[in-house]
Amino acid sequence: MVAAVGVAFILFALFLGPSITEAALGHGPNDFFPYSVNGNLKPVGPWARVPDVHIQRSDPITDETLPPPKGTKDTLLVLGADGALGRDELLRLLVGGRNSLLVALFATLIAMTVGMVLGGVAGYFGGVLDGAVSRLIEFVMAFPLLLFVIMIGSTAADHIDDYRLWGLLDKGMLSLILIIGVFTWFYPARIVRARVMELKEAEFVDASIMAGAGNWWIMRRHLFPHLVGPLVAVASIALATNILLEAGITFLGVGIKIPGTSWGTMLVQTWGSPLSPSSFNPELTTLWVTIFPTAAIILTVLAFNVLGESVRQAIDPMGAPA
Amino acid sequence: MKLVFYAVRRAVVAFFLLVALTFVTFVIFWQIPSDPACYVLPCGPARNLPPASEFKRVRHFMGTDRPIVVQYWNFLAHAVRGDLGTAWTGMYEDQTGKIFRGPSVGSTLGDAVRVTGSVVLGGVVILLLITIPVGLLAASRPNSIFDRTVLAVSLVAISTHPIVVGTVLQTFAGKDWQLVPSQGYCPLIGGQTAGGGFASNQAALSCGGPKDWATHLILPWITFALFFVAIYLRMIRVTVIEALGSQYVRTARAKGAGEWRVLRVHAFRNALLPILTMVGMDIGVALGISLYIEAVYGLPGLGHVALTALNGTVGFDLPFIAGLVLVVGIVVIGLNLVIDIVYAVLDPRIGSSSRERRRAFGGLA
Repeated sequence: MVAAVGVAFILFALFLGPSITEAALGHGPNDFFPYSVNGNLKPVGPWARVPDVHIQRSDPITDETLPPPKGTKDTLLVLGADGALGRDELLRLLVGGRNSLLVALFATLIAMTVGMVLGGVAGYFGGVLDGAVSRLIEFVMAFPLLLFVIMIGSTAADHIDDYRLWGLLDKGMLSLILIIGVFTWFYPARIVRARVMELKEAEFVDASIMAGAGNWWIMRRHLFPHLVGPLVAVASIALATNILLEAGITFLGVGIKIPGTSWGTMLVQTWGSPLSPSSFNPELTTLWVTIFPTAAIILTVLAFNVLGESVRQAIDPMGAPA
Repeated sequence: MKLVFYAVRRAVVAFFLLVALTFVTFVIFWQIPSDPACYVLPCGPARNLPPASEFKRVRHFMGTDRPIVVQYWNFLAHAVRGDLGTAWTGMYEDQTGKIFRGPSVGSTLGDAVRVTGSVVLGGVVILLLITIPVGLLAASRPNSIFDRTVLAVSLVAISTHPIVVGTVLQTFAGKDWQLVPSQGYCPLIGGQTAGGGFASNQAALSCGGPKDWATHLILPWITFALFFVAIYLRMIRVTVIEALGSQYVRTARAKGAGEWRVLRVHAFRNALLPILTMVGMDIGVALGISLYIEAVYGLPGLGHVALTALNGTVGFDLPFIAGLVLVVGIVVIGLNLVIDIVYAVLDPRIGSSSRERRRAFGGLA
């Protein structure tokens, strides 16, 4: 119950939150506030009032920063600024969270569906089908995700980046969903395959065959209910890893295009690039810009895990508590 | 005998998988528009480019003017003999027009595999050292406060990006408290090393031996283990809880077995096989995670060389990438092959095919 409320709150905050917060604060997620960063481009911390101007004036000769023009109103950055550009951390967190969650949810859905179908077919029918699916699984497992990402980035991504699913997705999200979905389905597939292989030898399946049940009936009525537990457990973990995977892929230059953002993007933007990582420097950046996205991911993952656990218990009360 | 046949059959399939893997790589990279000759000659919008004949000559030297199938066959023919060729990055032409080959792909990858292998192997050991005892304890008291706390903490661990975990560990344990070295790699055997290819520090230039190796890698290992703790902990916990509810554990208890013996002999042994499968499944993911860990700690591993090869301004270093795919494929497919065979040896049920069992039902099934 608590979990359902938590997940409902998260969904509400991410899908309606941005517009409400925007209206309340009077600025958008992509607005720059140059006065929210200091000389070293270090962003301000939470609950800061900064001048509501989008350009910074500096003295043309001494290059010193001049105060904002007289009569400028202040605006409130609830969670401070997001980095050197000085945008509202809270708003970007909300907008980015929607993107992160959409990518992770859709990718998990694709992976679970493909994994369940292929794994189930392989496990149930065995033989040549099983061999083919198992080899396909090994192929995908062994194929380096990184190379595929770069390949997609330089060939196909440009064609599908503009497809936005009636405005639901930001630019670049569809390729992320497809990449993650295509490269993670083998995980549920192997679990389902192993479980089905075990289950089809069970007495209740034999009894069902005796009673004249067909393959489809057995799969739907006798095997599928046993798969819900493991699948929900895998899905709730996959949600977390997919959010992080999205960060990793965006890190490599494929994925959500600026000014769109996501939790993963916000997380890694302070840490340079994989080839030239930057270590933490308190002069240049604050820990806040890392703490907030991390906390957001943790809370979301916790909420979905607890919800998944409740769902599983409702469907499969006999199973072990996962 | 049946087992040997099984192993040989799987090995043959594995070979063809590797062929398919590298062929797909070749096809993919030929779809990306770039001119390999640019690795040797200046390219771009400059006005004083070398003449077209020069480009033709370089392409012929590299062999990229031949059909892609021929190129692939050459790669394969050399690869089966253990020769992965030379990289395009690092090729150059001297004043007289003589073209020199780049560094050997095999030796570069060999060094990188050692680094990444150290990270992943040590990380898996740390992971199992954490998850097995904690998982057993949590499973023996399901839904207790300890159990709930462990699950929550493991979820926090999986929700934190390895880059963040790594940087936090590095900043505090490595730099502020000076407990262990904060970056660089030391070889296990032999003394001198070039240190990190990037972010190298002077201290890394003269170190080696088991002690230096372990102290330099302890933070990467922990970072690696923390990412996987949640998945393994849950899996061990669920398997053990299931086993504890089974008839044979009830029998063991009825015969007077203590709690510890039940956990160790009856419950834990059942969790071992799924752990084995999961390690095999995760090895590809582990190599990806290792990329971030290598970046944070400045380790010259597979992730680092892969990024360098893909990050070229002129295009992609095909011989290097193909070699990398082959090496990673051998590791992942080979490991899974070994695990499947070990599985078949350990679990006699795998050997007896379902067809035989069905026959026992008189063909009804």
